[in-house]
Amino acid sequence: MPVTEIESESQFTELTKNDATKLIVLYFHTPWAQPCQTMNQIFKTVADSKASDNSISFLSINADELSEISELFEVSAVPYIILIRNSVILKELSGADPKEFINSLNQFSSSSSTSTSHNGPTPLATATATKPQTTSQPEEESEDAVQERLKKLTTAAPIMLFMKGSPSSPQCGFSRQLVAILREHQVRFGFFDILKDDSVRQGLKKFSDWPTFPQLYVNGEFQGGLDIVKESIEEDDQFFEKALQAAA
Amino acid sequence: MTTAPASIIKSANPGPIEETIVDKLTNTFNPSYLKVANDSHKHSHHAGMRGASNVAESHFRIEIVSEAFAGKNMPSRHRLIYALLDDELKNQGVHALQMKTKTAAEANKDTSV
Repeated sequence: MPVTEIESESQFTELTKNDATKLIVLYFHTPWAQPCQTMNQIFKTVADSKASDNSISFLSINADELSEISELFEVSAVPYIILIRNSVILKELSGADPKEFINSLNQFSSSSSTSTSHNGPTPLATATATKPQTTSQPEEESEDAVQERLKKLTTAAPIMLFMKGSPSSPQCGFSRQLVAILREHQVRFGFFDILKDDSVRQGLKKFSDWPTFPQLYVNGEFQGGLDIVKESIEEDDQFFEKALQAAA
Repeated sequence: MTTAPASIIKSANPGPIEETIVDKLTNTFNPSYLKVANDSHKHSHHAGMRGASNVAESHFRIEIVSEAFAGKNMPSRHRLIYALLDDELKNQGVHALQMKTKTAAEANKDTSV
């Protein structure tokens, strides 16, 4: 079946209940995140290629508009793909890696031929309550792979906040304050919850040459933590606007 | 060169980590003003500190005025301090540093250093 764009929570519930054999592929996206543009296309193409396969359901979810569903699955960054069968989460993919997506799809769909997945032969079925981080990336992520991922993450949105928790549920006072400042200045920003991904948490410390979180990036350039953003805003009310204009 | 003695302010009963921080900052930056405050008690009950072995000297607030910061932007200044206190951050359980870094000229512009 081709891609179904979810319009409401009730539609989502309808489409995901019951069928114990169906492989359901959830794709979370937002209109403002750059990597989603590419991934949108890929998701659609892959879904279309499997159009004749009724055992797979491709559901596309706007994470901003259907925030309850995103929160239900604790989606912390977009694009985000979750593969589910029989209410069990089989795999989660954070970021926009088409190869990984296709590999995982082949690995778990019953109609796969040769699987080129590098995650081992047995699919990892996990209970919906727990979300182990290791299932969402290859076992041994090389330094280069981490660097690549960080480059993509830091440019996922014009303003990217790497924080503890999420804007609606910050897990640290400093992260909460930085979110408040961004909101006060009505700045659109993307966020990544570093508590959910330890390789990003540790990798970003090296990448930014900065040992603490939260961390703010504008146009892929590291700006600083809470103190620096606070001081910058105090000195110049137009700090965010100017930083955005300073081309990437 | 100012002949006024440097103002160094720290806690009434500084712990060993605070003492080290004050020493390192004083020796490296030769500040005209240094204030180190221990804010750990504000965070000791937070979720992020659960299970941490160091909850007494985990969060510090630093205000420092030094010419060493001249010509450097804020991320660079903060990185200097992070580098100096790398051991404290990586091995001693210091979790966060709030920093206000100024040169004497900047401090005089803004009376609330």
